[in-house]
Amino acid sequence: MSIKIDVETKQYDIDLAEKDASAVIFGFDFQVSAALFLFVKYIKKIRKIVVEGKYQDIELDFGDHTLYAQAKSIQVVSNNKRHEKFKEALLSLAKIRLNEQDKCMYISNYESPLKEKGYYDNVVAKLKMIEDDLTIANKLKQDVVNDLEEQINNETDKGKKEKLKLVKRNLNNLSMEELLISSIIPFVDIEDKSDKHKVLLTHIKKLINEDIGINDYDTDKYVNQTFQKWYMSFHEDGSVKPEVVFKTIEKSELVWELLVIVSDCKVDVDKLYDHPLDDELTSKLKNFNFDTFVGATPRFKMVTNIVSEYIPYSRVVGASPEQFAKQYWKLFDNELLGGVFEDDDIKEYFVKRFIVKVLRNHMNVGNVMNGGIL
Amino acid sequence: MIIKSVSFTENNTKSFDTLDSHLNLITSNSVNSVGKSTLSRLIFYGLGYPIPPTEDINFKKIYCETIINQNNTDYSVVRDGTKLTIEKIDKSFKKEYLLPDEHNSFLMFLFNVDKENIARNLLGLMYIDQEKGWTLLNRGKVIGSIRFSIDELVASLNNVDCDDLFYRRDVYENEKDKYNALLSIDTIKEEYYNETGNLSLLSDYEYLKREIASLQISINDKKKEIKEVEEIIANDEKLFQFFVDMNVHINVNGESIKINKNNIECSYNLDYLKARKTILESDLYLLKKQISNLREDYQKATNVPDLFSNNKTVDNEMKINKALSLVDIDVEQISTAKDDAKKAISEINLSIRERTKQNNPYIKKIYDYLYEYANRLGIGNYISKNTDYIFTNNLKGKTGANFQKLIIAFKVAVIKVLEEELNIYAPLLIDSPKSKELDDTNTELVMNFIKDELKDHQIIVASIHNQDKLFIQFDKIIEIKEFAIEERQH
Repeated sequence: MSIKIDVETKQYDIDLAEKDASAVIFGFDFQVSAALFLFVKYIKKIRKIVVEGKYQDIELDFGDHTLYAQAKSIQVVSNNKRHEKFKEALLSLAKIRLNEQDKCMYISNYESPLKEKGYYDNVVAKLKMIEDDLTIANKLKQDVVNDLEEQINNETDKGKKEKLKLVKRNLNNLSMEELLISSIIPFVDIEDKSDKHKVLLTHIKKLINEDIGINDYDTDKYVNQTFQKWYMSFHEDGSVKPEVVFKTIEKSELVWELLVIVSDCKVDVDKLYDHPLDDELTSKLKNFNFDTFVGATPRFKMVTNIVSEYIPYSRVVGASPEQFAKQYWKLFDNELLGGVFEDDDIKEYFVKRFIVKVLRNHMNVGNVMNGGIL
Repeated sequence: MIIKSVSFTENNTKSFDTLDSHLNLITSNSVNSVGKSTLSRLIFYGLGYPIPPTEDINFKKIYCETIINQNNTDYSVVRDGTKLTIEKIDKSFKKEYLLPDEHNSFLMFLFNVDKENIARNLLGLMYIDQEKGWTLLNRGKVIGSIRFSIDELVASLNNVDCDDLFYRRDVYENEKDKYNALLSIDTIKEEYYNETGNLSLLSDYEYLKREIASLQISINDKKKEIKEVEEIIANDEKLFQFFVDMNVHINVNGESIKINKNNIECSYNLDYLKARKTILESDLYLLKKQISNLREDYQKATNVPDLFSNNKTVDNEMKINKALSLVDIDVEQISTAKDDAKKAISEINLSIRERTKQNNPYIKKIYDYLYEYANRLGIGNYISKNTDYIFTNNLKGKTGANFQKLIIAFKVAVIKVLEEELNIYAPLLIDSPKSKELDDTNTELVMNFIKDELKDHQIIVASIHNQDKLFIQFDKIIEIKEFAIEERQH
């Protein structure tokens, strides 16, 4: 089936009005998920990411080049229309004139986007590495070129004709060998939505565990919160519109959001005291809401004082933030609180907890910077 | 006391009726709703009582003049709003009373009694309202907020001071009435939801309110956090800007390095705070969205349905029921409070009883009359042999003709004792004696009994029936054509 191209619309795609609402929602969900997947994958190298960009579904800015990605999805597991969707993606990718270093990608949720299966699952592969698929891709590209040719011949409007010729030229220049392909597997419409985003969650978890160095009881909580926050960043109001105004997000914005989330770490109260706590004290501390207490936000002066005292201390073998807090909390209590608390037990715990959180955050930031993420 | 005439003026319409010293009938000759009850109520309104009006008439706008005879002296009693004036016909005496505060003083003067509690309880003996009157035996509401209490009366007769206990009991009675009213509202709620088929809405509505309140607290907390973060960001940014503005340099191994935000240790804290603010703002956005959705649901749950829009009566009824249904009532708590009030009333009544009973000959006097009259009216076996029976609370199962007869017997018994002991000849006005279940036989029995026992008292009967159906000959018949206040042929 030939594809009619309307050069006036921003997206050369199948008329969205033909789809039902759930398909549109699914498609947009996949697009955002694909963006997040690529963001995490390229987090060390990228600077910015755009979803629903001016030209493409996803645009990753690496500074010296840009990766343009087209995202296509199918709601129910099948191979239906996979070649049609590939051709649509090619057509969209042909809208732009690429610089030499720029890359193009086709990302979908097909297990076999062209023919072969298993090469693209949650990885990025160059098409030239998969011979059979490369052959098919070249054939499909030729089909699109032929359709364009026909349209050009039939087009009477001079302006539109020129645009079509430009698209054809770009398409001819689009190298199938260099085309990157990826599949997010699984990504299907099932009742348990957390399963749909399982791949993403796994990648975020790996980022937190390996690159930031956090692997504790609350890691899954951080993973979910990070996913939700990043998802919202790309898809702000949660509604699906056929044409969404594009949003450029700096990598640092998203990384700092992750750091804020993981800074809300659980503090092991037993490690803050030399003696075990009695039930009464434990209950008292448990019932106090420290997080919404005014004064719980770290100021630069407090942070720098705590960190500067901690650095020489931390050179002592085995000295953890908890040990530092246990030993030196009194150095900071007036500065932190100015005598706000009346209850000494709560005050002591608050100060120690605050110190540990500041130090843990400092360590996380260090890991992120040293790991090349920021 | 004998009421000789009553005159009522409303706007430009005036009615004037004379009354006989003994048997009077206010009738409409089988026509309903022409003002018999209104006229009956006006008679006592004219004597200063806070009688609630019937429909479509505002008593406060009516000018009343009553001519009474007390101890062979004629008086004019005029009521104009809250002003009550009593004047001897020969003008040799005049006194004004401000209502309602001085009404009891007026009654004490009128009936020549020196005890407040006796004067206060006379209406309960003089007036049987067509609805309320046939449920009142020895204590309760006479009409409106006017109460009768046999305890007060008997205690007062014997000069026993129980005012403190009466006051406390009144307080609990009022509380109990309020609780009953609240529980009625709850019944209306249930009926409303049953009618609309929206039983689940009742619990939904409560749930929504709680959720909205909880979310609002979360929103307020979130706003406070954001505000704190913003203040810190502003302060820290000023600090870094200060270093830049001051063009501060540091010497590191002979090299001069200019201080800026990027080379200050821990300056990352600013980025951290900005990211934190973004996250808090996202959280706040979500909370506001949630509360907005809940408020929409709440609006739907509390919206007045527009049923039968052409039928105003149904609309208004639905609206009233809907409004009542939104009243938050903790049924369990109200029921417990009501039970507590009832218990308190019981205990106070016991205390009153104990104080009153001590050496009180009036209890037996009243009981003796009651027993005699009950037997004459064929209900002797309905009352206990114990003289304390005059204080009975046990009215369960007492309905119908026998209860009506008991009420009559009781009132007449007390009237007789007051007559004998204090020379009080209080009139008796009965509104609609046949409205409940009194058949012709019993009507004849009751009417003749009243006529005979209260031969020296003025009796006024208001009834749609003529005297034939009431089986006694009346000395005076007032026939109402259309309204209580109208020019009548005499």
